[in-house]
Amino acid sequence: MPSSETASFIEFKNISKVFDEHFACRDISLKIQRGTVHALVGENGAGKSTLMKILGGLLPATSGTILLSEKIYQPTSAQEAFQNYIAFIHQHFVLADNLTALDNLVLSSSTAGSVLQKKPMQQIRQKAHALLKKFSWTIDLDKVVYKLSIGQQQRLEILKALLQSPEIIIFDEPTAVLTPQEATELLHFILELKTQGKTIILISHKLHEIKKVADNISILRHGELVFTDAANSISVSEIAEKMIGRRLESHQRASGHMTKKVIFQWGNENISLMKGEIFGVAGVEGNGQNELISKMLNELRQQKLSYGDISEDRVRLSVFENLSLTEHMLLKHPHEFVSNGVIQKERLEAATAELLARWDVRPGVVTQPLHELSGGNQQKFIVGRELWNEPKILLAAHPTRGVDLGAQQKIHEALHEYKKLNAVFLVSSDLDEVIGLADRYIVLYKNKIFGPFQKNELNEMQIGLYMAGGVS
Amino acid sequence: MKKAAPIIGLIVGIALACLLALFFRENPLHVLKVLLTSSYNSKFDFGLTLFYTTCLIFSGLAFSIPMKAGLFHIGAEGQIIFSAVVAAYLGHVLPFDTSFSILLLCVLTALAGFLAAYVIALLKLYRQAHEVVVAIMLNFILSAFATWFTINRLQNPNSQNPETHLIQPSFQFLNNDFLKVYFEQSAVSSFFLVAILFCIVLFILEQKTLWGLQIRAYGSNPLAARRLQISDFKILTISLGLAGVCSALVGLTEVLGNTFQFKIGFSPQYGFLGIAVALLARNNFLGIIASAFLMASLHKGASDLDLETKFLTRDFSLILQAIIIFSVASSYYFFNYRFKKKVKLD
Amino acid sequence: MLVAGRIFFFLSAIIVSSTSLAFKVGLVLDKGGKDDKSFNTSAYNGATKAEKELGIELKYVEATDNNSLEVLHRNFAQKKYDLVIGIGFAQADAIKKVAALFPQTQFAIVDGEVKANNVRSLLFEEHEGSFLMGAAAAMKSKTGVVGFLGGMDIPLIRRFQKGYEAGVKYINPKATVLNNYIGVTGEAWNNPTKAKEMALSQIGKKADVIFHAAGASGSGLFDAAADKKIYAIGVDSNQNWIKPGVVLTSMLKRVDVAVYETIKSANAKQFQGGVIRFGLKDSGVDWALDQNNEKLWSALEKNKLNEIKKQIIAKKIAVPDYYVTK
Repeated sequence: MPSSETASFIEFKNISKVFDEHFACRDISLKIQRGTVHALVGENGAGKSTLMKILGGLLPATSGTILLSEKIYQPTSAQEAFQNYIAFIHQHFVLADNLTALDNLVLSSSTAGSVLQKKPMQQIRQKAHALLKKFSWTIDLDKVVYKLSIGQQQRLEILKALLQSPEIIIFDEPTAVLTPQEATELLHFILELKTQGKTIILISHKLHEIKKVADNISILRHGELVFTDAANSISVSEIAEKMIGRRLESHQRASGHMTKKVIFQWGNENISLMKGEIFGVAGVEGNGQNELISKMLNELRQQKLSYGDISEDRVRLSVFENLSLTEHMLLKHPHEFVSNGVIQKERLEAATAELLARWDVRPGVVTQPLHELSGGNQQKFIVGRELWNEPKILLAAHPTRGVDLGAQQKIHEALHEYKKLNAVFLVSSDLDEVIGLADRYIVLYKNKIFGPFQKNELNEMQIGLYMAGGVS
Repeated sequence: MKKAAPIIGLIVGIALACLLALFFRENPLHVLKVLLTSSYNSKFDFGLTLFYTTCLIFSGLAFSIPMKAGLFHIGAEGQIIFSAVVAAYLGHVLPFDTSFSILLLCVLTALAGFLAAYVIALLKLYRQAHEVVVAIMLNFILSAFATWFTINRLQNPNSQNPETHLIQPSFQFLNNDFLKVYFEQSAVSSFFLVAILFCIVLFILEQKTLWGLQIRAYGSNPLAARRLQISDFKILTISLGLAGVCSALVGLTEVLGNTFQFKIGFSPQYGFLGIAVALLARNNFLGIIASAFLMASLHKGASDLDLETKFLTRDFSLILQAIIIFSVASSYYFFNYRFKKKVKLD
Repeated sequence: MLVAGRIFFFLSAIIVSSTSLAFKVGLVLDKGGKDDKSFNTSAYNGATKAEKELGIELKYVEATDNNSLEVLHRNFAQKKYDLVIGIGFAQADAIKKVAALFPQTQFAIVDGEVKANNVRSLLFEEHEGSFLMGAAAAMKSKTGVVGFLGGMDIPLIRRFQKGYEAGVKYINPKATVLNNYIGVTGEAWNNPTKAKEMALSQIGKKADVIFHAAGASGSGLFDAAADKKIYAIGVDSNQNWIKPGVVLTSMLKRVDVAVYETIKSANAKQFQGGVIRFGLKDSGVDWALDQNNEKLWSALEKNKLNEIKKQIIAKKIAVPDYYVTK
């Protein structure tokens, strides 16, 4: 069913966006039909967010035009997009944490202008209640936002958008923070919106989800559109292949290096790590992962075990702005490269260069600041650095967050390889990652630990129940 | 082009200053001549410029070192005053027999500066107090202490000025100081060489040692530094401690090398001028030498404008100083911006 | 081109006009600057008067920091100025050093004493004038409580205070004198806010005449006095005009006269080193009576005050001097 025959609702014509010297989007032409779910997939940095920001009025296009119902549409602000019935539901919620849910709704519904307009609160409350009832959702509108669960916050975010009665709704990675159950519910909801005649654009890299709901799929790679057609014309593995431009190996890896040799015993937490295993920590983010990691670090330091540390937030906890790769190397392994208080520059540079080559970190210039590298290359460098001295335990927290599929694959391989040597403690909110890699895992819910479970002991839905607190 | 930015900024600044002078019915060429040459009119004048340079190098370092660790240290002024009064007291009471005494005096004064700055570090470490707030308050406390101590314990009985006794002649950097002798008993002293040495040594330490790297890392991202087990205690102790020592050296430069006593109000706000010096040098330890010299020449030249011209007053020279500093500082950003844009177009 | 030519002409005119062969006087003002309406203003007025009347060439500068004092004196001397005058005790050290290096140049200092052949020290008998102010305050006080507001706490200002107290007791032995100092550093000369607070607190303690010796801080006293309807007494310059009807009188310290006379004698080649003291007898120190405060004084009171003045000059009243007996 070639899509070009029916009149399209949104049409991108030769859209390009240039940042500094490189193209974020290059000459993209794309048509989206009214009343369909259109999925936009691609790796991080492939240009899908940029494209949607242009549609949402958050960024101007460098060249090209957008037609909306066959009229030229050139938004200069989010407000203007709003007025054209386009709503953008961001991956990171745009909510004022210290205000109530209702306050947030009121705030967003005051239209642009320098004068703050008084909005009849009651009217908005009634409208919101009507919508809540329609979808049989429960959100206490008088509750302060930070007290709502993540799922509820997302619904509030959606509610905020729906109050403007939009025709086009853009979802940016909506299921990234949800439990499998919540994710399924959301997908149903998206289908329901579709039956009401809304047009949905879904940005995601969870390919199975996309297959379930999308009518059409567009795939972006390196800022270029490489595929756009009906969803049923392409398989999941084909999508993945087109996304990264080559074939991907399967996620599932065989276990079987696990020994009974305990190399780390965490007394208080009843957690022990065996040589040859990846020990996973699953759970929706914000359920005590960070606390667990810092306790783990303290314990490792007290026991004087050597450890590698892939931190849970690379930008905040691992990257020093303006410091070079060699300097990052030196900071982690000071004793190896300092003698008599003087830095052994040649030895350090040689070791760093070797590391870059081995981990395929690009560009491989040792004096370049780490922060200038792409997310995937940064992470590969950090993984390589942390494994450089072959520590007893590798602590890997969200090791593939915000990295491209290629790097993700490389890192997964590395973890899998490394467990043969020692043990890996893997914390991730990406359930697929934990299920795919871990030999044993625990589930965190509100700081409580469930498990450890053996690989294949539970199915995905059962784990989802633990993640949502459905099992006590 | 980028490297020449500060020089172009300097030229533009001076040109603007001259233009402004025209409005005040003053010959801009004459103003230019005074500004450019007044620092070198005589050995004595040049010596004074070098004295200001010395003080500004040290106070620039006192701001710059903690800045490397991401700390905005504005407590130098209080530490300078405090250590100056300590130096004056020690110079008055320490028994002098060997040259060891001078060393002892310098070490004890440096220690006083260290401790004064260390209060900031301790409060930050153990009470999470913000360094800016603590430093501002300490500036008041330390200078009030210095005033009290001077007037009630050390007041020079031969003067109406609030000032201490002269330090013992053996402590005075006078005829035994070849720099001072060469510059005709001007304010400059051998501390100038110490200042240059400090900049060079600090520059090398910063680049070549692990401590230097750790301080820069901490300044860039303290959370990540903590994650790598770089201790807050160590970083704050080294950076603020060294800053305190640099502040103390301003006090020593004044007391041992210039007036041989502590005079209340001796500092024309060296501590705060140091911030401008450090920022102008973009926190580069070697750059501080140049920017301190520039600021010192302006300070000297601007005050001579009052003397050398008919219509320009002391306040006008302040405006000239500000214009020139402003042009030099903004040239970096101006040229950076231009530079980037050009690349994009290519 | 035409414009450029004009500018060039303009510039050359400036250069040419700045050369002459007159007697050259350099005046180094204190940090307070020439517009402090008090001490420095007075010196500046004396010097400009000399410039107008005697045809000398005058150049004045204001100090920026302590180090600059010595440089300014030095530069004047190097430029072959004939007479260099320093205003304020803070310049004593600088003049002492520079005068020794340039024995051919003549120096003068106000309020400081430097012993050298080429330096003339101009000192004032502040205690005599202050005694007169004390007497005036006691005569006008209804409550029997009067106040003294000092600027910086230094011997010079203690001398004012001691003379003032003696004058008060001379008229009314039972009177109370309240003393306050604004500070111990140079800032004290320029802090009207604190001066006002202190004045209000003295008024709270029933003081109804307050005398200040606090430089530019004095304006705070005048504000407080006007608010609370009491009398204030000014210092150094004639400050009666600042708040007519509120300022009872001013203790004149004729720095202008001292500066003028020094320039005049030096210009006439009659300069001598040593100390010159200005007191009541030569009107170097006096009380100010003009149209602004005329109405505040009855003939009887005026006569009484002038009588006291005569007796001090004739040494029939001994005024205690803080410099002699602390």
